[in-house]
Amino acid sequence: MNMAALGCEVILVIEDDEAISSSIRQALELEGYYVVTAGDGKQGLELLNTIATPCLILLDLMLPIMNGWEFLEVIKRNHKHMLAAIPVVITSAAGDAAKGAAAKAQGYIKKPIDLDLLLFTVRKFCGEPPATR
Amino acid sequence: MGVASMMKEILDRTGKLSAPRAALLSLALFLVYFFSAIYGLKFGAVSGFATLIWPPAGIALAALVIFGNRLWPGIMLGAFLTNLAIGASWPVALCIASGNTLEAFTGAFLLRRAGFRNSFERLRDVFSFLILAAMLSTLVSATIGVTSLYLGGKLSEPYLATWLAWWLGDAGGDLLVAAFLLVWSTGLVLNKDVRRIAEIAGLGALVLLGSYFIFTDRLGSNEAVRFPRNYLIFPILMIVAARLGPRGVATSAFAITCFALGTTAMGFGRFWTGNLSESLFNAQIFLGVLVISKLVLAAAIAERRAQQAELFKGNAQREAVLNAAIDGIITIDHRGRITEFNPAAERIFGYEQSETLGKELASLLIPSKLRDILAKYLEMGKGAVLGQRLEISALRKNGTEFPIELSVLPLQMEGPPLFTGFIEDISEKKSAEQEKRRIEAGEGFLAEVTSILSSSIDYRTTLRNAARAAVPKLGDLCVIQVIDEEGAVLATEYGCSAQEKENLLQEGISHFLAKPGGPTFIAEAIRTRKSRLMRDPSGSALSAIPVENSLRELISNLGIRSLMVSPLLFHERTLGAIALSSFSAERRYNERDLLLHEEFARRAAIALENARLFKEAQEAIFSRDEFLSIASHELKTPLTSLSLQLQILRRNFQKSISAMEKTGVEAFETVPVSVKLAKSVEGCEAQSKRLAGLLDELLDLTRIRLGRLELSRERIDLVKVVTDAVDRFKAEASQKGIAITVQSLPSIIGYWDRIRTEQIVSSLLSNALKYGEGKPISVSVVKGEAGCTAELSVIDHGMGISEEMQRKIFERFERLGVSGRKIAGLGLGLYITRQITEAHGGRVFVSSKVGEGSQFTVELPLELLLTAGLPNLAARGPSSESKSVG
Repeated sequence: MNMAALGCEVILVIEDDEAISSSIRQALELEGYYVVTAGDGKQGLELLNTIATPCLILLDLMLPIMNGWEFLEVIKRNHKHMLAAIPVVITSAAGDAAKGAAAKAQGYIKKPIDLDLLLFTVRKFCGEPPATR
Repeated sequence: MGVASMMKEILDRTGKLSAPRAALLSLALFLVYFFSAIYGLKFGAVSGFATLIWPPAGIALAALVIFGNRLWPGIMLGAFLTNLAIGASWPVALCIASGNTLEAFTGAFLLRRAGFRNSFERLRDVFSFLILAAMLSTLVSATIGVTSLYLGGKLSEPYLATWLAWWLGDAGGDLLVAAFLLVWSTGLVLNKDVRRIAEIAGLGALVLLGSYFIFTDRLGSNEAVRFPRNYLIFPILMIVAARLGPRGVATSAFAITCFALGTTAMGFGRFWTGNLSESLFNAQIFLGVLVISKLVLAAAIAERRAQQAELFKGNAQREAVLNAAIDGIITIDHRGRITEFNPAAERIFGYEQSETLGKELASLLIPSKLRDILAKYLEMGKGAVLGQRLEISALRKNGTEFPIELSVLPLQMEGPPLFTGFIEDISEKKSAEQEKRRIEAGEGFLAEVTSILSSSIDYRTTLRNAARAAVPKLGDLCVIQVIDEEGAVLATEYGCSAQEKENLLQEGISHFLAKPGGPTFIAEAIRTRKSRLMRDPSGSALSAIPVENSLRELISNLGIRSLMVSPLLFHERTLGAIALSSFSAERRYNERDLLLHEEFARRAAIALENARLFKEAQEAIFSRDEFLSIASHELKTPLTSLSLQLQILRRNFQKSISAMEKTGVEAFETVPVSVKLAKSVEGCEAQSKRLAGLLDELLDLTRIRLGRLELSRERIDLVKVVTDAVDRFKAEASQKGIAITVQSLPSIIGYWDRIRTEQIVSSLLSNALKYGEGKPISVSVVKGEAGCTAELSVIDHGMGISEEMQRKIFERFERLGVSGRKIAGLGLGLYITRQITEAHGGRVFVSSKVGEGSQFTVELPLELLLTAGLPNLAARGPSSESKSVG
């Protein structure tokens, strides 16, 4: 709450493809959100220890080192540090394979990502970007 | 010959003589009768009428027996005139004549009744002649004649003496004259055998000379010969009886009578006592005894000779039958010893008759294992054995066994029973039968093999089937080895009918078949592309090709008695080889079997090649689908960032344009430029979306093809899914000026895959928009009539679909051909819709009229999914998912 009060709403994007990752960052930053990116699930978990609790995690499934399913499994079991409470939206091209994970997460955005849907989803979990407030 | 044939002609007409002929013969008879009577009466007639020898009685009897009763007038007249001539009054003469005639009648009648034959060759002929004719019939004449004399007052001597003289005279006439005449009446067959003629002549001379010397006193009154030498005639007549039969005896007796009576009547000779009557009586008794005994002897001998001849004829016939019989005929006595072995049996068994007689049948001709069976068969006894045909193996002299058909006929004669066996060698028949059965079995076998081989298209299964197809019909062990194009062994498969040989085979397979080249004969068949037949692989045939000792050992351990191997050929290629072997000595393969085996190999090769091609094709399709799946997935990654960038660009343009419009600060002409750029960015974005859609279709298709279309069912409201989708299409619809109306229940809840259900609705809506020609679209979501399905219908009023197309649109790569207009997509939308619907257990169908529009309806089951869907949800896990995406 204090982070939100400080105007430091962070969105964690876990995506191994550099181009996609930077496109999402670009799109969200243009709207005024703060974006942190990780290349794999493990890195994502490490970041969760160092940064402020994000208002949303955008999670790709097919990742090196620690994949999306494993990452989801870990944070959804972590109630101690309130990680389980963080909303997760899956971004994947995997179709059927993504659906299981999507059921455990708070949403699913199919790749290629529809920008309107993305912004709609982010707004839903993180509110209006700080820049426009 | 003339005389004989004439006699025969007369004889043949006996009893049916024509009247003139009868009259003529009667006249002749009268003359003979009359003169012989007159002459006979000169010999010591008793009372002047009763003679001691009365030839006319014999003549009369013989005439009636030979020529029939119609000759009686001859007798009557002869007797009447004779008696008149010697001084009888006509009534007495008539009575005597009647008696004489009646005598002849009676004698002839009785003889006919007794079945008398003139030849005197049977004892019954001799006895019936003696008793019925000589003794009985003569009573008639004697009684009537003497009584007539007595009544006529002509009887000068005592009645009884006269009667006895009359009776004996007539009897003598019958014995000595009638017998002679009758015996010659049977005709004369001239014997051309010189020795026989000589014998007859010799014996005739002996009789004449013997009679001359015995019955005359030509030997003088020499003391040395003054013994009752008339008995010497007996041995002479015995010889005659033995050699010349009744005819010889009767003729000789006639000749002797002439001598004896002649000399006596002339007052000398052996019987002359000084009194004529007494001498004649003596002579007559002697002659009667002589002729009776010799006739009996001759008849007995003749009868016996006839029986012997009959027997000989029977034996000769039997012998002829035995010799000519096609069947082997063997007779055994009650101890099983051979007593008869005919030429056919010699041919069949290869033994000479002399080698078999007296030997035991069972140990000579029957294989040891069957001896008990045969013994039991014979023990069954007469009734059970008779008429049965038994198929049994027999043994030839050279030791070979062969099948025979045997029927046994028990011969119950005097003494212990004999058995006669009739034997047919049926080995040829049998082998022809077997051959026929073999051919039929072969045809049946190929039909069966073909159906077994075509039962599967899977390569391994086909290989296994091929190895088992021929067992046990054509062999006991079938080994198939297949090689690749480089000649390396791909696989070895075998089928075996004997379970107990499994271990040996496993060992054999690992030892020989797995290594390159395999066993020599299979390698050889593969190398030469030629079939090979080994009738006796454990013997010499195998040594013809170099084979390892251990293989030879395996072959003999397995008990392989016969072996065939054929290459598996498919056009220019050699796929391998197939070896078939038999464990049974009875199934030795021949050339015909090899032909069958080659045909089997040909069919197996085709089946294997088909299965291989199918496998290759399947593998190719799988890799293609796999590649498409990966490729479409990989293409999505750059497409994602590309489309995101385009969207950002478009959004920025929109933002800056609206900002410019708000403020109006910037230069006047920048706005239209920005608007133009924004337009082209939008175009890029639409194309990237289209690209994404194509990739989605492709991905779904490959997923369906690879069987990876998985549903994650959850409790969803179909009505909400539909209304959300309609909302998403609203913008596009209003752009085209199309109104979409939704008619639905408040909610329809079911366990369905949310994303896939959305996909169905989107697919149907986008089709309706695409083909609806700008006319209104109505959507309905209701429950099916039975209440157990949800029904989603999307109705457009566009161009419609022809009936032909309606059948095809749910297939892959089908879409409505619209002339002059390109419609985006791979044409997979409805195919995927159908696959998703069917995966849910539902169905999709279309009803349409060209020019009026189409209605697509999807039915999804409501209830079923509660049970079918939940385990599906529970079973899902991250690891399995990561795999399937791989």
